[in-house]
Amino acid sequence: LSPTDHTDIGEEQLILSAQIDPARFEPLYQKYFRRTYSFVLHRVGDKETAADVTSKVFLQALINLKKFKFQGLPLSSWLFRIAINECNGYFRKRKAQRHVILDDHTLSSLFEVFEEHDTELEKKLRDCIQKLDREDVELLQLRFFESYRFKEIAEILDITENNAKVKIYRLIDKLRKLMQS
Amino acid sequence: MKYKYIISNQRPVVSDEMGSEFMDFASVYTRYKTSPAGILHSVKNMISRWLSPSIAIATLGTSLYFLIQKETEVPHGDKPLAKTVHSAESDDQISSDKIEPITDDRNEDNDQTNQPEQPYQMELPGVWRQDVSSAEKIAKTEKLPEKKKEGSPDMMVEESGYFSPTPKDGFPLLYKYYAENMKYPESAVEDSISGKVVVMFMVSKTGKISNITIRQSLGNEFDAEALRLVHGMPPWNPAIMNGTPVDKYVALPITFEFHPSPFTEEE
Repeated sequence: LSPTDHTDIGEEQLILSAQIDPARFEPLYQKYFRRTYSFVLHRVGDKETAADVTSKVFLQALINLKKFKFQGLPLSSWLFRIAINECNGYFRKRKAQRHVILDDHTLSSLFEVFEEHDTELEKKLRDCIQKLDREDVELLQLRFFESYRFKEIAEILDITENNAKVKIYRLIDKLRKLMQS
Repeated sequence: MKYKYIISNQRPVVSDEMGSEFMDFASVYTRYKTSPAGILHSVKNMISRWLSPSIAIATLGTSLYFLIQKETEVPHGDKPLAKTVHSAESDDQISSDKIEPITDDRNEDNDQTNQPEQPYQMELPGVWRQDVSSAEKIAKTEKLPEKKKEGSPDMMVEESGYFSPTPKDGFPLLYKYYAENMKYPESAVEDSISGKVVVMFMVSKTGKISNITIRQSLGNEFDAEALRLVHGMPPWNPAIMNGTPVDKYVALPITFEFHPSPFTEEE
């Protein structure tokens, strides 16, 4: 489940042929299903719901495949962009609560940024996250939990790489201030 | 306190089995097929595979049908009203100045009066040919209305089913023929004469050209060149009156233009 996978040379060919005949999307579906499923599951928190949302993600992917332009990044970034939209749709419709995972890996990468580590801080962090809005939590998840590169985050959120960097530095600043208060 | 987010400290593990348990491309594909986008895609596919060739064949067939029909209709002469009115008007115009018989004597009178009107400053032999396309353009705009002129007074254009004589290959090709075959008389290069020679000739029932006369002269050499052009021009369709071909006079202006070349103009 490495997000920094290199794109296969054959992937472009697969995408191009699937753009002509969507039935040929199957190998891509098999390649990316688990990754997309996990991506959704981390956000909705329920296996059945995740499966449902994931199938919607692939349906949207098939519908919009013609618009996809291969730019060297793996198809996953594009699929995750759809996944974020589908998750947002799900949360809006069901008024469901978002899941944020703050496991050891996330915590350690966050503490690396804040250059301190204690249990007090972890507690504080949990409270602070509750005060963040949806976009910030999304960024937090992508950067510190899923450890995506800025380039991929930019692709997933459909913003420029610089904008992604700026947003993440502002988010860290915001968190730091929240934690100090 | 109501929490906005459910924060869990455990990453859900997605096992291989779980991944394959929910993996079902067939159902996603079926849903796609029944979605508007999927339907659109298959319709487009169908069009590109079957419909477009059949449409092409149908279009070809219809156009061929109409083409054949049009060809068979022409001799019967169901001609549009607007055309009669137009040719009637032009005939009135001409009948007044057309009563006198045209003879070659007139040309000689004109020879002197129609000498160079607008001499150009630059004189280079042979440069006029570069302006063949513009000459052609001018010829088209100037000649078209005059084309309709008819010489013989016994022609009653008010009657239905009249068609003026036309070059077999159409006027554009006739003008092209002129532009390509016209030789600007060498001796006139020095005087850089530009002007128009109006040639009149009869298109007989059989489409033969005869009785070629100069109606407006521009000097002997130009007249000779105009006559040469008219003698050698492509065949004509005879005029048709109520379905039967008739003799008809046609007055055709031939424009000789002398232009200095753009190269010399710059200097």
